Amino acid sequence: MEFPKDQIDELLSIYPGAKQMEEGGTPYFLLPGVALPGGATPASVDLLLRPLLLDGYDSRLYYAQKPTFAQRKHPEALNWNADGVHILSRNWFAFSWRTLPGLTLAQMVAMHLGAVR
Amino acid sequence: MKIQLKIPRQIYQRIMADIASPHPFAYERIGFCRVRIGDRGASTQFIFVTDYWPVPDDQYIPDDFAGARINNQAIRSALQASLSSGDGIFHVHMHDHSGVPDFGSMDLEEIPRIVESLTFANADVPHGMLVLSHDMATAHAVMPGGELQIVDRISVVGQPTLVISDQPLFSGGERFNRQSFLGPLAPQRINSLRVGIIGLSGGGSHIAQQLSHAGFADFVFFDGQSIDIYNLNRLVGATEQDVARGLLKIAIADRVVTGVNSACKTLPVAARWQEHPEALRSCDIVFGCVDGFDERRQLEAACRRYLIPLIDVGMDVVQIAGQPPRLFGQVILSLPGHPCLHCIGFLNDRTLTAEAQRYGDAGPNPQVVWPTGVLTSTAVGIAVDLATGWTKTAPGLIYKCYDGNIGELTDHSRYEHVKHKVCHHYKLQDAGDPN
Repeated sequence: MEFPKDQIDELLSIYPGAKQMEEGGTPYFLLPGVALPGGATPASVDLLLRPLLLDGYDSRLYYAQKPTFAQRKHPEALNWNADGVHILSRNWFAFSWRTLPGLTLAQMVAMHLGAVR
Repeated sequence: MKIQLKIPRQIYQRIMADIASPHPFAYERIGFCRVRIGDRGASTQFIFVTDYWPVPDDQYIPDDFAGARINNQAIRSALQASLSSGDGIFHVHMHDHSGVPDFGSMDLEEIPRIVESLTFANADVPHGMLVLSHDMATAHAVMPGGELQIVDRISVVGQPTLVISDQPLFSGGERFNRQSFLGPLAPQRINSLRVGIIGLSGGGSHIAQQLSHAGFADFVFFDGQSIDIYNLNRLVGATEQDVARGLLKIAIADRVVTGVNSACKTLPVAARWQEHPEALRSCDIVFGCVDGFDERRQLEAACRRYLIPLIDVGMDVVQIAGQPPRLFGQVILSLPGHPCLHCIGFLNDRTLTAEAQRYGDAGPNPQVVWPTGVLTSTAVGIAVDLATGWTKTAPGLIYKCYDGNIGELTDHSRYEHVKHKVCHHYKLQDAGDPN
């Protein structure tokens, strides 16, 4: 699946090393070693963005490890409902979070990370 | 470190058809395989053949002292293929006999030089040499950073799935006299395959028991749960004492299969397969007895990536107001290079969304012993055919559905429409570790 070049360039400018991958016909973007907000432990992890609608979510952001966020201010508790999901030969974790349709790739990541600020 | 080489049957057949055809003057034919690595860095690493191309006739050099000799252009194309694709390359030729082939002295003098050149061109991937006979194979490979070494195991994946490298001869075939119609090699072939079973409750317990009776003797069991009283309605081999002791379901399966055949080797994993994916990757055939669509999606993705046939088994009961409960189930063979669970519509956005919305609220699925018996017996029959090829059925998708209310097992209504679909979700050339 192809994404607009300007969106990929934007993603690469924010997350150098971002890489498009695919499994089972579903596209993913691997974002290596992303520094997390919210006083996270660990402070940085690999992230995996699934940028399209599947399983009812317009997009999902998976974490290679399940971090804790000591300074998170968002009032809504995180519901980690993807727990050790095996994608691209690794296990990933994600909390339930809705993004809007029509976002750019970078906007999707920003909106997911907004949940842990 | 051990090395296993896996060849999809589609590509194996292309190799055999090409390499056995006569050349205008050479005595043998040569080709090259493109390969990818799986489980890089693990104690057992995999090499997956993802493509094959023959050396064109005009790239052979006449040489009365060699079975076949190819020119620099043929070798340059192999080097270029590795550089441009990032894949490893295997030199392939054939010796015209049956049984285990050996590299000849000239092979061992000349082909390693080609392999060395390939390693100079691209040292990050495996390269090697493969010699085939009519029915067996031998290979040497250089893994990244390693030396040329013998490949420990070579298998052809498909229908049938066979180990074609040298292996210990199986003794004890007399036990299987009543299933001799499967062919004289059937006991050996069945015995040589490692089977993974994901979930050892209602479905998996049946499968383990039947497989051990049929002669399968190398098992990997995945299930982290202990038996509970409510499992006794369907978990084959379980007893009240097991419930009292809180025995793990994998321990019961282990007891059942080793009780049938004390020579069975078992690797019981008391966890989800995702936590020990290397154990899953070591299997030749995997049975998925899992709940849920997303679990199936993950399992099929892993099996396709590591070229493992997956047999999915499941059942459910639907309650419709004013009608008796409707009991149904399915058995699906997902074979690398053939239609997958997405292709046949079993996995789709609707089913995955519905499941995600039920998250945490599913409750226990209804499960009973008799439909599971029908479905798992069908699944075991598929595995025996995969191991022996006794039905000589054309390889490909199997998609059976079971109506438990009337006791009828038929091809799914979509089967005719999807059985020849070309799978775009999992391409053979994408086998191996993600890039």
